Amino acid sequence: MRKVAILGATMTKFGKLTQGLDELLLEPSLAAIESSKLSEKDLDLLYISNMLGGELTKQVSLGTMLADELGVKIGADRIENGPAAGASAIKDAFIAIKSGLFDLVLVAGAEKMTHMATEVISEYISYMLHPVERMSGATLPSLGAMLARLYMKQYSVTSEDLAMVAVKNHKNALNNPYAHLQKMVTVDNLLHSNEMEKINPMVADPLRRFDISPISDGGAAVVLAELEIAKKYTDLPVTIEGFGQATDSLALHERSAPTDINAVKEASKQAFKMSGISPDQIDVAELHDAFTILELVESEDAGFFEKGTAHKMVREGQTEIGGKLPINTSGGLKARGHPLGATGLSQVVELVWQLRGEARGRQVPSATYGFSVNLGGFGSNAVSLILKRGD
Amino acid sequence: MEGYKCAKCGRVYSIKRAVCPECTSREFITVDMGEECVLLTYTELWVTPTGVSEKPLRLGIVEFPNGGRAFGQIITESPTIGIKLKPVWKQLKEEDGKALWGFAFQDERKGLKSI
Repeated sequence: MRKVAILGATMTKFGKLTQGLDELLLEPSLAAIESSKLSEKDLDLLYISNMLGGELTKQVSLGTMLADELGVKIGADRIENGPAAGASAIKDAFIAIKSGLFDLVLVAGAEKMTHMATEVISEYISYMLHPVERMSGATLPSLGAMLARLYMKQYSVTSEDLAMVAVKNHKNALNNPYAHLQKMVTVDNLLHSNEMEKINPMVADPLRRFDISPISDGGAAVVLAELEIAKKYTDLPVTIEGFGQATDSLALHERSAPTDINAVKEASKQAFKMSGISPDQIDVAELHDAFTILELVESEDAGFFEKGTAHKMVREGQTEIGGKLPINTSGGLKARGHPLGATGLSQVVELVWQLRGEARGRQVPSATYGFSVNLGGFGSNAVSLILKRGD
Repeated sequence: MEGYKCAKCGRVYSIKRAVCPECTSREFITVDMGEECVLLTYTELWVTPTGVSEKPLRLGIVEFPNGGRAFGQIITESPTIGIKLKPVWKQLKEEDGKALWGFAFQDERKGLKSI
């Protein structure tokens, strides 16, 4: 049975950048091809992950554009699955190689956002929601807030608990030179200082600014190869052991339990089944913390913690580096940044660095298995991936 | 306010559907949702979307006695989980110069200032 491995995996720094969308796709692609010790001509398929290229930068046909810039004439498509485009594109590359039809596939993802006004970006992002909910004025943070209110009531979770997720992820990002927000924050200055309303205002009650990921520019790229071919180029292949993907009602109000993200449950269950391992074997996880509440919910729904206990794990430091399951060692969406189409790929890049022992300053000792969840919409589409350090 | 009840399994939806996600039936009966629903969860949105005049914009999920749920603007000064609300027809938003109308959910408790 063919196995799929990752060769080069790299990303640009995330943040407010001067590069355009084309450069944010091209730069990490060139770097990933080079670090794979490949030439552009070795590639036989290309996928782009991007959400709002047309709306924000007036550019679509991104697959064609990157193929052309790389000087190749191979098949090229743009994958759109909201902010889960990155993991979806990895999934599609995995399937392409697994099928035996392709051997070497480049996946590049990027988003250029910070040149636009926040309200314009929020409007485009809300196009992911059910039209009936959007018509009432729903935004992504408003749905996150409704889930948070119910979840916090049901499991006695406080605003301090949510802030602790942000504090942890900001702390991790201090050691990630690629992160957008490299700034130490504490629960006290987020929730108990005189300046709280200024630095951490309410956005969608109970979610404040620091419960929400920033708007970022950034790009990332990953080269995938059939394992035996990969071994010719590297001594440190990282294999993709499994993936899972599931959807749930587009409308939040139709979900049986709005405190749960069933798409994450189902996608993660599939990924663990395909890889033949259990959640307790995972050494490091990158979760989709577009909102702090989501890190808690996903860590439970992916199978790591019992429902309603994730905040206790955060309080005990179990999700910090050195804890039982370090989560978002990169800083997560909260602090590494969230350039939509690049996010899923940047999760994979962080896991590859962790599994290769290259995550300087934030390394999880001898990590063997890595796990990621990338969300599209508000929990309406989830892609889980399981990666393993090569033997 | 109208809802759509699956002719096979009986689940009620506030959004019209082609296929029932519970049982895959394609037959629905139009039903009246009634005059009262309960607030399940809500938010007060301070960063509001373009085309909405209220600030904060109160949004919530409500449940009707027939089990059907809906999403919408909540008209009250003091939202609390569990309060009873009544569906009312209202302009919700303006988009591309057009007024969008739909149902919102009004708190009818006495002593509260109406908005």
